[in-house]
Amino acid sequence: MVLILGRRLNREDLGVRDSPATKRKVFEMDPKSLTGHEYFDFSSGSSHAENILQIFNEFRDSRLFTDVIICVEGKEFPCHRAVLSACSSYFRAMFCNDHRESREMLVEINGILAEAMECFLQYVYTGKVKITTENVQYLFETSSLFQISVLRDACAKFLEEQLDPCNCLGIQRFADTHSLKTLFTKCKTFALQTFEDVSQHEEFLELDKDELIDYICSDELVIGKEEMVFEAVMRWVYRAVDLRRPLLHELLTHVRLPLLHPNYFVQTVEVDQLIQNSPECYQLLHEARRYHILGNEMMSPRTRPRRSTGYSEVIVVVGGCERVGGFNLPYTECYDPVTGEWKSLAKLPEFTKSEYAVCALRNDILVSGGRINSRDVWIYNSQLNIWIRVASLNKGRWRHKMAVLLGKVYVVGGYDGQNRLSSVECYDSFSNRWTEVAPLKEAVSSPAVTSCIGKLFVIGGGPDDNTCSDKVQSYDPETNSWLLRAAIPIAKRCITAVSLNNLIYVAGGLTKAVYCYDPVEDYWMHVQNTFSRQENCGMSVCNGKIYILGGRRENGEATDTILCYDPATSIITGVAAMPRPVSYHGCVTIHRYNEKCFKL
Amino acid sequence: MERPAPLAVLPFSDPAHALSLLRGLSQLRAERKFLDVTLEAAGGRDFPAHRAVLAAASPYFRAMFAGQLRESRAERVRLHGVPPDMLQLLLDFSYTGRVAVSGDNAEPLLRAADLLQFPAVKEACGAFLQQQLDLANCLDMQDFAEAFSCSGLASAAQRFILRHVGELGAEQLERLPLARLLRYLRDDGLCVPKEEAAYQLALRWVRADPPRRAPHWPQLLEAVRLPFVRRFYLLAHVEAEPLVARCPPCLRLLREARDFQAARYDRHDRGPCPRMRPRPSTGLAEILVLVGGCDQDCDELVTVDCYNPQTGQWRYLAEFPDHLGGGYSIVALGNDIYVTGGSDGSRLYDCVWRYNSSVNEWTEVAPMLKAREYHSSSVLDGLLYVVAADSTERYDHATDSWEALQPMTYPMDNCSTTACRGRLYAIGSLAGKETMVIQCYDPDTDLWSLVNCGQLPPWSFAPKTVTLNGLMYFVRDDSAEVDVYNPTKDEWDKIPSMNQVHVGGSLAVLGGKLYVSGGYDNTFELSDVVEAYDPETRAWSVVGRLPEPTFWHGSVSIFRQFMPQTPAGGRGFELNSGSNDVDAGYHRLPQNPEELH
Repeated sequence: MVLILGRRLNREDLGVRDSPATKRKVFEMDPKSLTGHEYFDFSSGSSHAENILQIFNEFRDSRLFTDVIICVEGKEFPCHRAVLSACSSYFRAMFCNDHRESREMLVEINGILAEAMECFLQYVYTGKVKITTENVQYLFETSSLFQISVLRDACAKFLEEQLDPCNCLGIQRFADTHSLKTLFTKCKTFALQTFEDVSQHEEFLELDKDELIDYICSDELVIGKEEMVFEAVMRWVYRAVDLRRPLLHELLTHVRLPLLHPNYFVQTVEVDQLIQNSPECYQLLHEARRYHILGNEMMSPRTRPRRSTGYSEVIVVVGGCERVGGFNLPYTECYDPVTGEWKSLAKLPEFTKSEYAVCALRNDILVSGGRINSRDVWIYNSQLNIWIRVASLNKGRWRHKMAVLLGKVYVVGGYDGQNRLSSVECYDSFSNRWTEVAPLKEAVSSPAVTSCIGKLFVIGGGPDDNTCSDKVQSYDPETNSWLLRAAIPIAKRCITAVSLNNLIYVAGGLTKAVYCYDPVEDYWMHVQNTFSRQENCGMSVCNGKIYILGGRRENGEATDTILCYDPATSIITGVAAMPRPVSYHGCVTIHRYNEKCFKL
Repeated sequence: MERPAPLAVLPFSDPAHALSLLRGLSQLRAERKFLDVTLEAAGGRDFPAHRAVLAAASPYFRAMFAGQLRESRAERVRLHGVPPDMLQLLLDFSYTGRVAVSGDNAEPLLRAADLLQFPAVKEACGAFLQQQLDLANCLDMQDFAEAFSCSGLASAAQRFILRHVGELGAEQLERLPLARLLRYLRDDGLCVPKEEAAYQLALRWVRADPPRRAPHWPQLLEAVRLPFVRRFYLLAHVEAEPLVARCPPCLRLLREARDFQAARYDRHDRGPCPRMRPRPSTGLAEILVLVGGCDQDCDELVTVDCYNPQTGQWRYLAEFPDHLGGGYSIVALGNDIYVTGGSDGSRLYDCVWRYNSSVNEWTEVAPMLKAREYHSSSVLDGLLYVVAADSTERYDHATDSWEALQPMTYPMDNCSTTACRGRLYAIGSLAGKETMVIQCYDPDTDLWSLVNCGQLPPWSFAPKTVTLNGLMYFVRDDSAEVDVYNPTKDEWDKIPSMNQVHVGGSLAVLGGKLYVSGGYDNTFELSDVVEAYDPETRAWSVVGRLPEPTFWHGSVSIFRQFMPQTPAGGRGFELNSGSNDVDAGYHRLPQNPEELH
């Protein structure tokens, strides 16, 4: 039926304001007086939309034009299907696929709270809602269900702002459940940064094992000292000791026990009944004890400090020279591969010498000998940033090498100006004495020397001015004797070696090859190439990777390059350059405390 | 570091939600989902829509669908008087908040928006049409705007018409309805180069249809500002016009204009009258003129400066050509200024100087009958009165002669005078006594009498006095207080105090307001403040600054010709008669005198 409207209507019944057009004489305008090409694109989109929204909310309050009732927990919410469908794909799918002809329908929705539904509708009809600590969880779930991403994201953002040590783990679990990657990441970062606080709260004690390991294995964990991690783990285990006792060993493998203070280790860790009754943990205790005695000679993932404690592994470059016969360099500088920062340390005394040997003894650095025929030995104390002179060598030498084996320093071979030396001396820091031990089977200068699996290895070197040796000589301190092992693939001198994970890596000798030797299997492998040939370069292990620094190229010029070899991936990459080109320098790794900065 | 406690409540507001909802509804319409009503426009075109959206967008549809009528539930609704393409635009606007207004659709769209109550669209169309205003369409546009209550468009059209009235065609103007023409003539903003043009506009309108329009002629002439039509034109064209000659009310208006030009009409005493206010487009302005005075160093000044309150600008006028000395009196007579008497400290002056504003020149005229200083001067009924303790005399500028009058019954030294309601009032203390009295002179009987006005305010010295709207205002020299006397009702009153004291300052009336300037302030610093009192708001406000701090200066108000304030692009109105410009200028109403110490 078509109804007639307009002037024939009784306007008072409509309640419509009378149009002035019906009361006044209207003058017809001449269309030609307006230029047709003028165009005015009027847009009150934003304010118009706000008006529509406000009036729709009034309609809802007055139940005008409502055509559906949403029922949640027995509470009924009259709504407009068009409005719900315009905002939410969920409702759009629900209503558009419905074939019922009823004008007013009742829809029951389960799994959400009536309060959350009320808040949700408040948002739909006003664009505004109060997110509170009480309603945020349910409002999030409701807006997720109804696919309103803006509101859901607002809830997630609210949760982010609520992060606190007492709730961040619970929120993280919530974020994980709902695939909120951003919130999950923020919670984890927050928990790592406030770990000392977080580990005091109930939520922490309710973590499962894998979640706990995920935190304590992280280098990013912010703690004042490693003792905090140990105590947190023990609190967690004791919380449900019968269930969690079998997990103790696995958890302790992620605690860096070697870095605990020795007093704390003896008085707290070793006396713990749970640990004493867990034979599988003894190996970890043994490792910590050996570290307290041997220092950096004993390396494992647990000896690497977490940066938040203030300590970090750094490579120290000692002395060196720019080229053969060039200036001797007095500098002692340390490099932090994580930050890329270089710092100056106390200068090397008597830097007029060259071709000396350098090694790390626990957290200190030894420098011995040097051209010509020097017997002097200096120790750098890393806590005090000073060089201290200690007992002299029995025999002066240069082009020799040093290594630390079972807490003692060994000086091997070298040159006295006339002959290659087979002399090997041993230094005991406790008695400050050098003692002769069994000599090398073959006297060499410029060999590669390192310690591995309790033995000292001397690799290659030059027995005389014109030849290179391919011999690998192994020293057993228990029997005070030398043995010859499998020869290095090519005879080389001016090479450098480090040991990592019971393997020995060798580089230099004006070759690109990096070789790896397995002393247990007595077997050599070629594992990687450097980018250029060099000799007399520095090598050191830092943060589980091998760094090759500087050295001299075939043209006699020193280089400032730094290479990083990762044995886990067998990938070699170039990293930042050194402050200056250098060769014949010493390279060692120590732990350094960041808050102290020693400048010359 | 302690973290601040996180807020427990986040009042979340999504500013994009409303637009997002609207976009969703628009998409539902495009997909024909949940449509529950069909609007049928003229010609049978159908427009499906959502009732709730239409009801939210327009009160018209809200009343239709939310009411109890059959239409509230009908699935089809026929709309009469709305073209389909306009309905399409309004529906699109409902769902998007956007509409394209063009020259082709502005008018019908405005009609449809008015009928269906889309005020935002209606205003948008009005704004568009406002941009299209030109000489050919402005009159029709104003009719259209008023018919549809488009106040913005109506105001813009009105302003356009007033500004371009001289460029409109004769046929357009002759077809104007009476009320419209009256509205234009009464508006200060009517852009005519001379008031003669306004007169011609009214006359032409009547002549277009004399039998029916002649009865409206007096009403129209009342809206023309005849006092500002040049004297020659009044004589040659207005008085000679048969419509005027045979119309007693018109003759009264003509006489009023003549009296104004002959300075016999006291515009300050009579009260506000729009005919006594020039239109800015003619370039005439009522200005405050400052004469002489003393500066910071007590040096006597001979400078003459004028102040235009419309623009806030000061300008130089011709300097006083002689030594002013002290104790002189100044008054405005018509559009000229008269300075009488004074002394140089040892010799009294009887000379009288006249400033002719039309030629910016000072001329000496007939001297007073007696040399005097510290006298007072006022203008009453076009004649200049000088009042002193021992004598009163009167000057007629038409004959350039002085006439002796009866002296005050009770001699008063240093009195102030003002003209109010046809009489001259003198205020001062009796000679040799401390009694303050008010005496009144009746020019018809040539007699002075004592005014029985009850207890006077506690004045220590004779206050400065002026008359405004039939009331006498008294500004004290030693206080910021201002007293008001109504001689008709014999009532005293007070108005709010000035912002500061003006010891040795000057008092004048300008544009229906009191103006007090200069003098020493409450801290005995010489002031350059100019403050004005508006009787309508009963408030004082600082309106400007003197060119320099001054005291003992005279101030009066006159009319003066400046460059016309015509908007760029406006063309001058061509007069087809009155080319004779021998008339040297207007003679304006005199201003009350200001006594100098």
